[in-house]
Amino acid sequence: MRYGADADPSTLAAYQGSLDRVFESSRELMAAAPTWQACLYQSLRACYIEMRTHPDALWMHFFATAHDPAVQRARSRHRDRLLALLHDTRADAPPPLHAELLLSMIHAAMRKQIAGHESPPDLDAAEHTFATLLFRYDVPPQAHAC
Amino acid sequence: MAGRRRKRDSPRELQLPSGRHGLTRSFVVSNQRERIMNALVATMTAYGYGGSSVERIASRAGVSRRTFYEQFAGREDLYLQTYDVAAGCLLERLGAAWEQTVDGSAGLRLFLQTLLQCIAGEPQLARVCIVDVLSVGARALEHRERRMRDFAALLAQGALEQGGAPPPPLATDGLAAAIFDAIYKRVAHGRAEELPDLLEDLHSFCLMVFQYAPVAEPR
Repeated sequence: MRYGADADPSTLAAYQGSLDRVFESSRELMAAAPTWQACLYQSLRACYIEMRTHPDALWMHFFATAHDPAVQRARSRHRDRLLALLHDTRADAPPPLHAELLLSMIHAAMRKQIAGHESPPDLDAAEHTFATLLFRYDVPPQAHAC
Repeated sequence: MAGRRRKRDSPRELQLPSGRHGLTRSFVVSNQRERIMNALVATMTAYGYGGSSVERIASRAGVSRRTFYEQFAGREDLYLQTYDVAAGCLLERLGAAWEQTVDGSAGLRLFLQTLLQCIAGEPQLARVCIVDVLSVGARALEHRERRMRDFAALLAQGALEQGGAPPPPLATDGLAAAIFDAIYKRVAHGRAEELPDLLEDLHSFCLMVFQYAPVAEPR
């Protein structure tokens, strides 16, 4: 891991720019998607395309966030506004904590995949991961069943 | 000092009387270690890792610098040992939670309840181990990675032994990371006391990931 190189202000600003572009495209995609899962899928896809095009942003989004508090805060704010957008836009959105956990789960899975390769997986492989985890989500079983 | 009362919960509260006290060496050492570890948590809570010098920690623990260095190689070593003790204790309680029940769904619930309550019950320690760990250094992150793998394995093993179905390979690690992300967010914002409120939604989400067989509605 490239530990210790905390983001300088210009790299951090560029990363924030990437996150803002992802958010703007998500705003358009979310309302148009047929289901909340499809809308998160589109948003994740837009995010991965953006990060893959900007290697510094990809590094910050998936790795620096684990040790650089400034990057962590930027990613956390972005995730929160995305979740707020999902719940403001979609009447079919899942419970807030479920959506939060799903996004974090997919982020962690992508991080592991990227770490295991010399270059980031292509879009097809990433889409496969999004789909596998997103569409596993169904109506939750009864929590109190026992 | 006459008329001056020590703050409750101060690590110095645990300080042994000076002079001849008839206590064994191992007891004294163990007591000093505990005080120093408690002092680290209190000092980091007040000053962060950067502001927690050995002098400050030792003073808060009521030990000399020499005693500090007899027990720990330095500040980072103290942090890592404190982290490992806290994480080990949490994992032990979580393992015990799995063993207390035989019903998969109830076992998973107890596991998650134990996790949330343990962390909510020690907000300062939680902040030091879950949030501040990011700023301590590369070795602390390695310890964190190791403990996260232990947590993911414990979660998956317990769930599979008690009726869950194997999730896709990436989902187990992903779920463990997601749970800690959710915990991190609350602890970082000083809202650790809200963690037990997440139980029902967290439980239903984990049931879904491990695809527990739905239980028939009572007739």
